[in-house]
Amino acid sequence: MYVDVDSTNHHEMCVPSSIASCTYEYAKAYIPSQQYATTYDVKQALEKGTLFPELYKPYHEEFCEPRR
Amino acid sequence: MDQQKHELINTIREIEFAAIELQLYLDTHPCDQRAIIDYNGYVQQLELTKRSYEAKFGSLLNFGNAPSQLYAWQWADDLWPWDMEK
Repeated sequence: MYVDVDSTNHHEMCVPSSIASCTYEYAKAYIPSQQYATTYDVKQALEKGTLFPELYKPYHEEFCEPRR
Repeated sequence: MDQQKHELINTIREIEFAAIELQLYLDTHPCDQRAIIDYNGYVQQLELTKRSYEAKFGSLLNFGNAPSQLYAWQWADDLWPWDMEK
């Protein structure tokens, strides 16, 4: 379960080596292993809802307005 | 709420959140030493901040987590959840 990923390789930051080295199978979900890099300061983290800048995905209401 | 009390309780919330985030990260990355060091730092900071809050404003939790000031039992003196501004 714990995949060591070479953090110097930018491609592998998105695709863990154990997955990259084999063929993807259909109907399976893959989650890349998170790399520990920079973090927000504690105040910003609580405001944003995550300590990790790479996981900050703000919700933009305009994307979800119903079609007219 | 008194300004200093408000700031201190917010600091506790912030550090606590950072500690939880790192705890979740470490659940899936148990050997990441940099994360462990940062986690331990937040835990220590949290402990100190809670102590300093409790020394000034009374217990954060009941049931034996903090001593009361001698002049009176303080647990019920604090604001109720519906009295909180934020």
